[in-house]
Amino acid sequence: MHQSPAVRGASPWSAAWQDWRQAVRVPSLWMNLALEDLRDRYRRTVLGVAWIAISFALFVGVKVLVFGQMSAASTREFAIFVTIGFGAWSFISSMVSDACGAYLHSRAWILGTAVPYPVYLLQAALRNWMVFSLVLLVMAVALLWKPTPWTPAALFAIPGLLAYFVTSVWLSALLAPLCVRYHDLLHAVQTSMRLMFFVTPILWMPGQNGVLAELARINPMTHYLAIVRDPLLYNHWPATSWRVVLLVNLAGIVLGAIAYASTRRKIAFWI
Amino acid sequence: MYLETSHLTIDFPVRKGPRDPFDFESRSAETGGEIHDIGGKPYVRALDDVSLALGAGDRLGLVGHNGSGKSTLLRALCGIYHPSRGSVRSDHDVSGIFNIHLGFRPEASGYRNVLLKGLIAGRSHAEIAAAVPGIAEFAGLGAYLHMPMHTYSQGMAMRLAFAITTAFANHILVMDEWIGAGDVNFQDKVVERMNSFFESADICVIASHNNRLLRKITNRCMWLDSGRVRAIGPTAEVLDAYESEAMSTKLESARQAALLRPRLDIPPEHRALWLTAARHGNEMEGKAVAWDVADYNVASIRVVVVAGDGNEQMVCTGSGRGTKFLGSWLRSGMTIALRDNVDGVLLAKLTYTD
Repeated sequence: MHQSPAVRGASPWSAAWQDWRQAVRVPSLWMNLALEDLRDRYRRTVLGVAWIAISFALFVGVKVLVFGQMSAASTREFAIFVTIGFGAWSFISSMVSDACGAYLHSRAWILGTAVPYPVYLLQAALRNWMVFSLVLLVMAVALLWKPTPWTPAALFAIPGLLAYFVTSVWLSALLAPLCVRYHDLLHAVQTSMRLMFFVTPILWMPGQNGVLAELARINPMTHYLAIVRDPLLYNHWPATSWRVVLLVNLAGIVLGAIAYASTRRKIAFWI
Repeated sequence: MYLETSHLTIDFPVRKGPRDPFDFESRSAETGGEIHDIGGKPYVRALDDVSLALGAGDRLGLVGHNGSGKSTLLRALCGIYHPSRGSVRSDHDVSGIFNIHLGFRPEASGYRNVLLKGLIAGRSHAEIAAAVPGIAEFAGLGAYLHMPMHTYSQGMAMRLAFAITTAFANHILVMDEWIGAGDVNFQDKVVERMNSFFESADICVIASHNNRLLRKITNRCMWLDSGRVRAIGPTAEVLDAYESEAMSTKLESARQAALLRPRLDIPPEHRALWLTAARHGNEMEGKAVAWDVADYNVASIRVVVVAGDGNEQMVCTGSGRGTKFLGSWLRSGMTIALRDNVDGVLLAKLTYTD
């Protein structure tokens, strides 16, 4: 588990690769750490993690009630649109901010134990997936009111979730070291995510043309939401959105690998 | 089995906000490593060219004042800090205990912390479950094992940390100075466990300010000073040199103080030296010698026993006010004297009668 002697003094790429291999081999460590994070958050509450599902359901319910009045779409279509969109958004947005804090959150562990750093990155990713799985339950219940008939095309949402998983890993590898080095980035990212919420089609439908449609088209978040929302709501495979998501993932993996490998020797000094 | 460093150098980047002034001129030489700049950025040289080679069964003690680089060296041995120059090599994993707040989840129960630490050490769930009773027994936690760790006292948390780390250690263990801080019972347990740990010819590096503890459990010592190795060798040699320097530094500052504030005459009615009942640790009871001459500008004293032939044997040195446990050492008819440590002048004298 500790960094093996061979790792020390090796090239940054092979050392980084060794780190990831070692971390992936101990899933029960990062699973238990992620579980402990969730327990910390809901310790001494009666409802515990059920709060995640409850608060999400209430949030969506109120949003549908208020913003549904302003939407041209049918209430059922808008309700599902908001539920899936907001569910996916809340995962992405909390993943982004947790990715920023992945190392900072584990500061005491980084200075106290020689655990390969990917453990902390996977811990942050898994913690968000644990939360997201409860949100997915609410989304599944909401889909009982799906306005369109069920077709096998809905299964295209599964590779969409897989793309989310890949994103959650490289996002941590990229943002965690940068936020340790540049603390301003943490606040910059959090602020911009708050703004992104409004320019992403979550509470509004983009339509076919006009400023909103253009705004949605150039926003990669739109495409991230579409690869899960479109198959479930409209039974269709959004090819353009998939191209954007794959491209972003590809770039993200490369940047994440560079960020991880070039900072791994310095994190303990910076943090 | 080996643990080696060669020309190990560690530079810490000095992190500062854009508006924090950083004054290269007013650096303090008293503690910490030397500050220098690399490419216009300030760095602290925490370790400077440290080489050591330990083999099976070696127990190395680290001494040096605060900020001399002991903790940095331990972390570098563990692989937490990567060398700026030089290298660290070993053929086994290195386990470490630093401070009890690092690497524990305060909100989680002691049991959950045992599990996490076991997983980090690469143990399976079955192996961890098998180790739990031994750890609970050593730490003496009882029902507390299933309560959150933040409800533990400092001492309980320390026992648990020590028990966990030694239970899951992979042949090479490094420990930071807090280990010498527990109560007497705990320290006895530590010595006992350390000695059994070493029967398997493992390697240990322990930093401590408790020289008595180091003399008991280490065979070699390294004296660090501002990140550089002052001395490395057999424990007795290195610690004697370290203690004698500490002593002469103290004496020197007492001498300076005596120059500024000359000693006042001690009136005969002042009680300068006396014997008192005392206990040592939890068990031993007996007499202690006590003195109080601080009000007469005496900064450093020594207590001596005067033998029949007039020769004096040192009992201890100390500041102007203090006590020293004597225990069974004290005999009826013994004469004890208090002397100023700077000029050796006799301040007070008493003879013990049973």
